[in-house]
Amino acid sequence: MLNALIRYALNHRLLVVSMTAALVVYGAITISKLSIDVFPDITKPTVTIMTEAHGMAPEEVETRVTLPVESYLNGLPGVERLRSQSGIGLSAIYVEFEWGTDIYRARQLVQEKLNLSKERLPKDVTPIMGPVGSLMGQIQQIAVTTNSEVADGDALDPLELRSLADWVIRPRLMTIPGISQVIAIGGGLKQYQILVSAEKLNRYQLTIEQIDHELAQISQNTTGGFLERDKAEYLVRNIGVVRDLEDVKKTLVGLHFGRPVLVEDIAEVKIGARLKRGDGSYNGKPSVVMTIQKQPGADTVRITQDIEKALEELRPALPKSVVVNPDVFKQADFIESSISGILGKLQFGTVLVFVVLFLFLANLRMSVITLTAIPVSFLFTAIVFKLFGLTVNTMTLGGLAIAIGELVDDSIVDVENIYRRLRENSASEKPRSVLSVIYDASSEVRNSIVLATVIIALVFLPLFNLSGLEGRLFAPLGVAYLAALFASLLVSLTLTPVLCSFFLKGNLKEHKDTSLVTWLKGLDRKVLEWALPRSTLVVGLAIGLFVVAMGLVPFMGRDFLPKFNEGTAMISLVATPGTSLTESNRIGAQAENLILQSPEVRSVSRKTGRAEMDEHAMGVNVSEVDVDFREGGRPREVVLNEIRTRLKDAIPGIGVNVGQPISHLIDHMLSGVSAALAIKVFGPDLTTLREKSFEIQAAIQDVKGLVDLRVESQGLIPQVKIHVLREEAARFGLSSGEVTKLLEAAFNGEALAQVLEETRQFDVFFQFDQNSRASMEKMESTVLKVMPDGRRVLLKDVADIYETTGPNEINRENSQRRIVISGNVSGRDLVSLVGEIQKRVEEKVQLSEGYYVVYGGQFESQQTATRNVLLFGALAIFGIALVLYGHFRSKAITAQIMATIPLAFIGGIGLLFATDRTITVASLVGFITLCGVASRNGIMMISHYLHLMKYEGETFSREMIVRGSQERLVPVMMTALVASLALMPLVFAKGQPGSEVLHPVAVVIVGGLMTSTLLDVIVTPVLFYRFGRRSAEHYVKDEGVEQV
Amino acid sequence: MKRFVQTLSVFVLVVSSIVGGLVANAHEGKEHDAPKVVSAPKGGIIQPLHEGYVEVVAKGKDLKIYVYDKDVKPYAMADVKVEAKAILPRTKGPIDLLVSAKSDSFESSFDAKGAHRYTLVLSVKQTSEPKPIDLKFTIEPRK
Repeated sequence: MLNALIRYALNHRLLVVSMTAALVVYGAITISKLSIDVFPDITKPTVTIMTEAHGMAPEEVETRVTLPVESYLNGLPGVERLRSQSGIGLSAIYVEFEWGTDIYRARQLVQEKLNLSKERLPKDVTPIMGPVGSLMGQIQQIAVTTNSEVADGDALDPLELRSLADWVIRPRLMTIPGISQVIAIGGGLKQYQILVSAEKLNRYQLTIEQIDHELAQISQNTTGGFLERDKAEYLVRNIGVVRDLEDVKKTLVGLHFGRPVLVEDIAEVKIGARLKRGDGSYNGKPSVVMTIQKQPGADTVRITQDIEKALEELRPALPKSVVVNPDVFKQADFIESSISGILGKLQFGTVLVFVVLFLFLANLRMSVITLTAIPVSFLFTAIVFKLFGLTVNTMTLGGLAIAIGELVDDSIVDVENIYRRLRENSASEKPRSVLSVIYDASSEVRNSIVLATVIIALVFLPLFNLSGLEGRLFAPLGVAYLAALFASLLVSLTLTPVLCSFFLKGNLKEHKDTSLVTWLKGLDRKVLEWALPRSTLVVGLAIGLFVVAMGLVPFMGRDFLPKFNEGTAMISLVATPGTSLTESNRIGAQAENLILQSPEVRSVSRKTGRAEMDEHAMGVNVSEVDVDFREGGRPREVVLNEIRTRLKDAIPGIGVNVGQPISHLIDHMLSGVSAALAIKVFGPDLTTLREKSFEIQAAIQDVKGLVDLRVESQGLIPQVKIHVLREEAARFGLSSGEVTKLLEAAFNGEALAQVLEETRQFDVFFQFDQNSRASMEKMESTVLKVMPDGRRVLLKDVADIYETTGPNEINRENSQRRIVISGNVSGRDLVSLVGEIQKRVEEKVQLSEGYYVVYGGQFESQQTATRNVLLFGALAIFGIALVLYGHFRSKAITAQIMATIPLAFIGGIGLLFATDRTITVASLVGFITLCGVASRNGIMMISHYLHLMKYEGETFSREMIVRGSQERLVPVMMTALVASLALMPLVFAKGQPGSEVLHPVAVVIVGGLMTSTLLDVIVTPVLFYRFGRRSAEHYVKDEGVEQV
Repeated sequence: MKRFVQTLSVFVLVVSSIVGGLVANAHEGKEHDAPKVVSAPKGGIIQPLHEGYVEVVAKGKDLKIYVYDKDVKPYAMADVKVEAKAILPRTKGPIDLLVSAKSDSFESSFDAKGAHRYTLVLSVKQTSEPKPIDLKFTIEPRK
């Protein structure tokens, strides 16, 4: 079939060239339209369920909302983890499905269960699903501030600023295709407030019950049917909606001795800010921070450009004092720097490949034909990206970077053989047609080309079996690599022979070795003549080197993935639970100013607490500070450590977690905790859980390399409880439910209606004024009801009001309560750190029955990923052995080729030890890739010995092996050099944005190729000379295996 | 008479401003020296003493009382004495509780007989302090 393909290509040369041209054009158009992102889609299918439970404490939210919903969700097919957070008036449940689950199917299953769960939930409590999101979905932050200096003191107040953000900027941004949500925090949400005075209520002898009843109808339009007149009908509308403060003030709420009592008689009516549960700031000054989220699969870079264009269009319509800063956090910056970095390395790699080709081939035409494989394969791969729905990202580009060296290999072998045969043909007495010579020459080498490609494809199969984050990251790399490799195989079988037929004709000069090649061959002969008689010593030395290399492994650390360099940092500040928003804001502003003291910091933005529409159920004691850095300056790790120390010294008593936005999201996705290490304590009793978590914290706090250690903020917060005494309440004809409902309206408040200002809607909100609920004594004196005999029923008559404490939030995982002790790692590897922590916890912390500890985070993922990579890697090596055995039909030859793999590991381990000194999943992927590339060298060498014996009359001898080795020296060296040099830019790109994951892969491959190539030219001939005689002679005589 | 009332009002205003200012300043000064906010090491309710902290852990009827120094390290049991009383809401008089010293804590128990809460009044006498300090903890047995 492959011969038919070569024949067809040569018979339809114009068609092949035209099709290639069409593919190049289509590929170029496709590549320009592909979405660009940092990473492949690494979002785990997760459905978020948010339930607002007004006025409930965390314990109530847990038992009345979270537990019933959880009980229905348990047992859903494909659910891997069920996490929940029960906070003040809010339940957030995260249902995490297996990787690969269709998110829309998952949402359908969850929705069905939510419908069922409603019957067990309190009235008016409705769980709703959050929108379909993406891990990398938070693409930009915008700070909207007001600058009085710009507008001569005409600054906007926080309410106006927030209204501008909500009603002018947000709607414009939401129209941009690809944006799923824009969440604003800070400023103040404008409300029409009715602040009722309890004292005035008393004076007018009105009760909350009456007020609640009357105000419920403050703003109503109804229809009056139709009026028929003069053969026409008129729609009758009854207008009662409130339009402004005056309308609200003039609303009747009751009668006092027959005289109407209006809202303005009992309440202050004003425009004010809704109760804040979150706030925002930019560079230490209050501001509205807008977070923009994209839809899954949308192009981040394009959306960012559209956002900036939209803001430019809006700018003239905004007040002069308003400053909109779109550069607070932009994921597009990271994407652009990462992608341009990798593209630069690809271009540089391609240039190096060309230089090597020219140095070895010393023929421009041959070099250009060979090099054609690179652009054609890349553009073919772009079309495959489109078909697979892949984006251009660091991993897919990384696949191409790794493939560059391999792409030209097939063409090198083909072009070199065609050139040799054409020259022989032109020198012969009866020259054959050029096309038939090219056909025969291409057919001659196709077997080794296909075999090598099959083996390399085999080693990449494990990548497609990896589950979890590592699978999501590396599978696109594998797709890109295999697509490019398949394209290069196709090119070598079609386009390369056709181009040879056009450009390698006429009188071809004898292809002489360059002086470099002559010198190398001379050296090779000397080395082999020394080594072949000393096989035991050579093999012993190789084994010794392998043992030494393996001996380095225990001295290397182990991590899940290399650390990213995102260009921005995210710092979480956690104050003691119960800290007010005002205090949390003060701490946050102080922290911002401290962070800004580092000269490398360009800007900071802060979000404290939770925005109104946000899915993150963060307490007001928690702040997240996004830090943007200038280019240059001290190393990032140094700056972050300085900030960490400065914050801890200046603001004692707060928890500090220094991370990066994307890494933080990845950590959160892996363990539900935004830190690299999560020690989860499970058990039923909150007090015991808190006790044990503090014991663990004390036991491990001085472990070297452990930073940002903190116990999850599940502490006790002060509460005022109003415990309704049922018997007392019944005595006054009040039920417990009635009392709590009235109290909710009075103390917590309720939105009664909306006022329309043009297209903007604002709530009309009713609540007791601050003075009426300023103290427990005042609350106790609240009049609930006036009895028929005129006696007033006060709150203290029917309830016990007291101060106490309660949890600020209750977190659960897989139906168990849990508290997390989290931490990050600095200057040490994760696995050894966790090992020490586990040892200390076992020694120092005693857990009672029903309580247990689980170690999660990147550590858990590292263990699973390593196990999977090693298992599937072993399977791949077994697969390589089977393919080789299938081809050579000899166990000895198969074993000799496979012996090149340990030789490659020597260099891979050695260079990794010299550079990173840490084994990650990325470096393991490098080792897997190395198995294929290294086997390829062995195949080229040994198959040529066999070729010499079978077709060129050589016998098994030392001279045959020297000749074979010398003839294969150039292709082997070229292949290795081309592959190594193409990856060299990545080897020197440690820690550069976008190269973080690819750098260790490149280090392992380059190191491995260096030793496998150098040792291969010595050890493989020595092994073959020592052990290969019998199997080679059997192979030549086709006596390998008995066949029927 | 009207003049007298006006003069009196101004006098009261001036005096209350001065006193108010002093009180406010005193409060600020006190806050400066106030014990830092700490997390309860045993997961219970923690309250400050002059030089240290007291933590109460209530599980059902059982009460455990831990006394710490200002660095939240266990206080020497020999240097502290604890007396405890329980007060149920809307009842007259406290109930004395029996407190026994263990190796690292004091232990007691109280059956609230179905009440939603009671107030635990602790009298803590440290040898370093001249007088015992009274602390009140709200205990909710059914929580």
